[in-house]
Amino acid sequence: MNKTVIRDIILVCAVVIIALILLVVFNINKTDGAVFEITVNGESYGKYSLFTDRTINVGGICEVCVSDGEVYMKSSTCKGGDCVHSKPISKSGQTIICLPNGVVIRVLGESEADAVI
Amino acid sequence: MILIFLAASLLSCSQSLSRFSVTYTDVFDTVTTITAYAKSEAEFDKAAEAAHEELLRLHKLYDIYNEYDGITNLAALNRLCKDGPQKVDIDIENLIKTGLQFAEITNGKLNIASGAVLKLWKNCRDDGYGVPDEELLSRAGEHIDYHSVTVENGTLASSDGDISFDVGSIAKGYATERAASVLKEHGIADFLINSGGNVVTSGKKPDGDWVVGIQDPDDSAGIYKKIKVPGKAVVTSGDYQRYYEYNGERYSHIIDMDTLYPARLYRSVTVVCDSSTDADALSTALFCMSMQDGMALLKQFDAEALWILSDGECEMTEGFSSYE
Repeated sequence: MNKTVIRDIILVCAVVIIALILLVVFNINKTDGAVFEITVNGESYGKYSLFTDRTINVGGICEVCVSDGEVYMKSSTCKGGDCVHSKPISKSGQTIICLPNGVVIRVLGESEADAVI
Repeated sequence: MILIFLAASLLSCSQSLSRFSVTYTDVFDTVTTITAYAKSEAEFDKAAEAAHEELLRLHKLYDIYNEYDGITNLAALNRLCKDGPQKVDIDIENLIKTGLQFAEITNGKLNIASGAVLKLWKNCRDDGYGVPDEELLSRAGEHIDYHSVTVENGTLASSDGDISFDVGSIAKGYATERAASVLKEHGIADFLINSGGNVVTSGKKPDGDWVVGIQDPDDSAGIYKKIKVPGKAVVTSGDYQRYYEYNGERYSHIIDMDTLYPARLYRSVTVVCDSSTDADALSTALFCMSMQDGMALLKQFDAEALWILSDGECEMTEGFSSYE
């Protein structure tokens, strides 16, 4: 086998490997519900993975907890506590809202509906 | 050839629209999300902020809990009306007029002059405890006669000094419609506004119609049914939106003005029609009346509706299925 053929095979293999890597990366990025965002009064507070268990203290006004691929409001300084009683969310487009504190937790990614009412 | 290709690419890039979204939590005591397709983020931000400004203006005007410097809003008018006729902003006149028309059409099932009764229930809801004292409720019920109200040529008056306005049943619908007009004025053609269950859509998405999910009343994270709504208004009134539980019973925020107690006929009612104000008013009124009366009412507005019943089953008008 001459050197040119070997170089061609290496080149083809390299292209295939890079393509596979790109495919995996893009699919990971496209995975619905992998990331959620916290906003406070319309400003982004941060984006977080749903797959890293942790508790996020949002400026001392509430605590957002991530556990087993779901996110929920652990505690809040608001009076009603509706946000704390909201079910954990994990699907794209789902939200938990603390209206008195202006905090919105939204799972990012394409959702099955543009609005849920 | 390459130059032509590059030019075509640049042209197609300049014409393509991207999806943007923003959420506000400072208007109408609810969450408002504007989602739209725009040429650039700057174009979207400018249009959305203008729509937000309009929502804020109307929020202050229709607020019945707080007064603001420089405007005579409904909170002020509720205080001042006992002193005689009051000059009002054109947007207050328009909304009160629309509200009074709906009160006539629905025999008071939609009543914007029922603030005295709604206030008693709100107090309990805020506390998450108890029900209003029957004597107090009955006395408040004597001051909800919308026939006592007149609004003409910028002047609002009531022959009942204890009348109290609460436009919560139509204000969001009206304001959402106005916000939609602002977005259009700023050149945004394809958008969806969702203001706490009041949805207005315009145009389409690149991949089809806007899709609205009707929430499963028993699962805050679940969708009961999805509908496609091109250039329409959709509003849902449900017993799961604002409520409290006391002694094992659920007390929702929608009060039937015939009984002065929360309506319990359905879990939710969703209305689809051209006008967001009409959809808002109709969904509240339908929540408090029999399905037969509701069907007759809907025909006057060329509107369609879906009722989710207590057992989880649903009923819908014939035309509603065209949105599925």
